[in-house]
Amino acid sequence: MEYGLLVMGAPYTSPAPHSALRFAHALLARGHQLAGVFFYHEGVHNASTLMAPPQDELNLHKAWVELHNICQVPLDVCIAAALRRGIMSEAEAKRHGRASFNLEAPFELTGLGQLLTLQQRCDRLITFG
Amino acid sequence: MSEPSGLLVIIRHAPYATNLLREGLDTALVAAAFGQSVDLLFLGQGAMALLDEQGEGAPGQKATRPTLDMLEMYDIEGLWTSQETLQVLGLKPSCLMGNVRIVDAQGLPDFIATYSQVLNF
Amino acid sequence: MLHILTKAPNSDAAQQMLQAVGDDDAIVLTEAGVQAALHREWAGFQLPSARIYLLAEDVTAWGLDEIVMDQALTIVDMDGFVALTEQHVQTLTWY
Repeated sequence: MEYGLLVMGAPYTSPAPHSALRFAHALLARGHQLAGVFFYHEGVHNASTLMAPPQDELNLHKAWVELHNICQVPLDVCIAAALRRGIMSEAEAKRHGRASFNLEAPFELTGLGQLLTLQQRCDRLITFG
Repeated sequence: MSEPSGLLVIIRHAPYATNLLREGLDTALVAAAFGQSVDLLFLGQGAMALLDEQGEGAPGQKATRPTLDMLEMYDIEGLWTSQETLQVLGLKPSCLMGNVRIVDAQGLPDFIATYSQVLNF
Repeated sequence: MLHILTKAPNSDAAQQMLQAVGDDDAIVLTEAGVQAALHREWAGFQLPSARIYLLAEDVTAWGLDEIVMDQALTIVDMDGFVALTEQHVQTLTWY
């Protein structure tokens, strides 16, 4: 089956990103495909390259990148939710006249339409809030 | 019973409490703009968004009422809440915006099952 | 329909979920939802036919292994959780 995941919870605030990551690895282990992860609401903070948790805690940004490296899953971040919360790619930082940025590939800024496409395309969409 | 179809967006959070209400409504608007058939169900605190007399946002807070008024332009006409929600919040149907419909007590599972897709905010 | 509850049994999310659970539905309790093990009187356990599962790793993390065993509640591991989502076309998370 094809799965899509919707991540609504912020790293180190909500357990949702941890649950989503463990679920993602478990579904791959059962032979399913992961068609996309969409980050919305507070979930957009998962994309920040600037997160620097203590060494004895999982670096969630890194964990998502590792998941992408295993299965090439698109990591799509809602652009409206991200910009509101100060999560920006280099291109958006330029457009908004900001000196720095904190979102890089494999994370991509995209519109909400991507979430709806993911839901329609996948056999299952699971929300982690 | 006919085949499930359309998208149901469930809103469970009040205005001015979290951004989930706004982000849920945005999702409904985008889905409608994409041509999907969309209804909204307001449960629990989410039903606070349906009060007819709600004012503008306190200074610095954007109100949600204008977004709700926009829904009709996007052909989102199904605004629903549940009997249980009104009971828990102590709300009378007469306090709500005129176009809100009410799912009977115990009717929610069947109501939700008529949609092929559901998103919960 | 498969319902995922991530909040404690006395939460708004739990109350809302209980309104929405139908006769053929199943519930997975994850994250803070596993606290329901402490409340056998919780309305979720009184539902006539709904099957309730607790996510094993969250049960352990919350220190509820023994209670879950004493109460003879059903646990699933992450693999079993994925299997439940295979069996239900729709999944709804209450958070």
